[in-house]
Amino acid sequence: QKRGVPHDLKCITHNLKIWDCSWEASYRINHGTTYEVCIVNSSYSCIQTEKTHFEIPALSLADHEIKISSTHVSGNSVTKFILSERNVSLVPATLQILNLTADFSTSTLYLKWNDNGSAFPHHSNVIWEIIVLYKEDMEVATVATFNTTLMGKDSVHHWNWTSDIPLECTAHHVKIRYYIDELHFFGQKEWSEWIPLRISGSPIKESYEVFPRDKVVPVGSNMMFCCVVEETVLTAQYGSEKCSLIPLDNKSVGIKINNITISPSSGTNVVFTTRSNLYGTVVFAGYPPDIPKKLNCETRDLKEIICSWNPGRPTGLVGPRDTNYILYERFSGRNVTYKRDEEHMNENHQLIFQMISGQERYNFTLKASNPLGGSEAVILVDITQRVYPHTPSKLNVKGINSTAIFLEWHLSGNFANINLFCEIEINSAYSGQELRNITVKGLETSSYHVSVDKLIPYTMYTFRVRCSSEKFWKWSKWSNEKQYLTMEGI
Amino acid sequence: MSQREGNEVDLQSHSSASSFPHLEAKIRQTHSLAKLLTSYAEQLLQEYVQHQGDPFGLPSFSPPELPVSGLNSPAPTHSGLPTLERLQLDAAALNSLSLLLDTICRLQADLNPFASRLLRRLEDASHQSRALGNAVEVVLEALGAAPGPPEPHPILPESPGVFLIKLLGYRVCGLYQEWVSCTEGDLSQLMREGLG
Repeated sequence: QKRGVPHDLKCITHNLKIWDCSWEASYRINHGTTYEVCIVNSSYSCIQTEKTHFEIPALSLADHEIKISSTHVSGNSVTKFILSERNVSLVPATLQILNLTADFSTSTLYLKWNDNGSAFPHHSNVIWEIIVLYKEDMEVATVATFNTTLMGKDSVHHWNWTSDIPLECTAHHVKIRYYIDELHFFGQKEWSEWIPLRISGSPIKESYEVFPRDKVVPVGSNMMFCCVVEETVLTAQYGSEKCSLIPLDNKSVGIKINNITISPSSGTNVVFTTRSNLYGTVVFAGYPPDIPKKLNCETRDLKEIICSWNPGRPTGLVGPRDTNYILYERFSGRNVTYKRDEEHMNENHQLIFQMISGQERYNFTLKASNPLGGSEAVILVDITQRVYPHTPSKLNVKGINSTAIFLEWHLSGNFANINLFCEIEINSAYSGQELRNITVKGLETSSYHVSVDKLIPYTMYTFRVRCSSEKFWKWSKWSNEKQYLTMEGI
Repeated sequence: MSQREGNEVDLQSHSSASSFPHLEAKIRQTHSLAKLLTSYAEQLLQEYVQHQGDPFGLPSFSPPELPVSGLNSPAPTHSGLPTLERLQLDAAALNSLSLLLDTICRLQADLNPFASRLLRRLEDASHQSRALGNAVEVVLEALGAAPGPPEPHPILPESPGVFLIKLLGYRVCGLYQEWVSCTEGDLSQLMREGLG
């Protein structure tokens, strides 16, 4: 090959609009050689250059003759090449990566990038490939392949992936490449180069050496724990179970725990021991909250609504990880938060919602949530149909005559807008037990009086009373009993 | 005269004829309290480990002594110090422990909210440690000894992980046991020296 004569002409395109061509000069004398590049029989003017590459707009599908004339003190030469789209390679351009961030608490990587679709003339199918490598021996953690379409405009894409190893435990290397499957292009189509990415943001590595730190996970999870320290880790144990060590990095060793069982309330300890030290973390394995069962809302006094429920399956999580309950009322927009009363840990769960003046229908949603998830139960009530009065108190008897008495009792509650339906139990050794029902106009926290007649003179009676609302929901408890000897008949 | 004899406390010289019986009773009473709390401290540590999950409580579990700033175990040289100086150190440690035990109690309330007996024992231990510290200070005052160094406020690591919290509690309960037992020993020594 004569000195400086161009050969091996190669053309690539990143966007099908511009061809970027370059050639080899067998004996490269960069200094002093000038080239003239002409596209024979074309309207394009010739290009003068001292470099061994040139750019031209993409040519039509036909064959084109390219004439490269080289001029050098030691002599000139003309070389001709036949160039068509078939000889051009489509190599996607380097991606513009917007962001690769890591959420260390969930060991999740978030990748966001721009596909630069505006640089591409028309819609094309694109294949993306993302590889994550980790550990010292650059083991493949995952390979993700998926398709999108270039839409002629820039589109932002998202991808996220959760590592099975805490991100703090070992370096994670992420790289991405893509392939434009352009159907209208007859040249060679190639993958872009791999674009290595650096995770922005670093873990909050205080003196802490064991990861993950105090994580809450669902029962049945498979987990990797690791210890990152300068010393040699000799043993590791999960609760009381000894575990085999898995080398991760030069300073990091891990253990793998499968199908984690529910933790005690203070969590399960994960402990790594070196010759002179001990490092640990705790994991809390539990359940998301069950849908609250038997959600019931009623009122004792038409002032406060008491909603109670059964939490269902225990979550195994307590303290700051305990289930949080909030009762929302849709019509009023108000809500009440449940605070676990430290003293009465096992009592039924209940919340008190202040009734709203003039509102009888309530649409309650009880939302339960803990670090593992949430659930909810809904109940729609007309509260006047959910009255469970308090126990009538201060039952008192006054004689009217030998066959009639006044019965008086006290009932707290704002019943002015409803009628009460009460039942009087009348007991005597002589006539046995008799029940009489009466309807009384409800009052505002007051005493109620009724007369009871057709009694037997000079007889010892025992009275007691209970009430419900006229739209029956529940009886109150019976009041205390009251004995009374009717007057002698005249 | 051996260095030990030079350190002995002559109670008679420190109190008038009339107040000596009162001082003697105070020392005996404080000693009994220390003796009682020594057994309570043992029960506290046992109860504590039961609520932290394995490997706490396992025979093989022997973590390195976690540094608790402001408080260490009684020094090996403690028993060689003059009795009153030992009691001053005991009082300071007990007052520090009162704050530490209170902190551990609050941390455990999050971890073990249902462990009411453990929480009550931690709370009691905090009060009892303070009470014993004060009682030792009263004895020291009666003996004319200057009060010990003010107890440094114990500083806990910032946002310690749960495991560190457990280890810390384990260490504090251990320190409590050590210092209460040490106080009981020093009071016994005082009684041997002073009351003959």
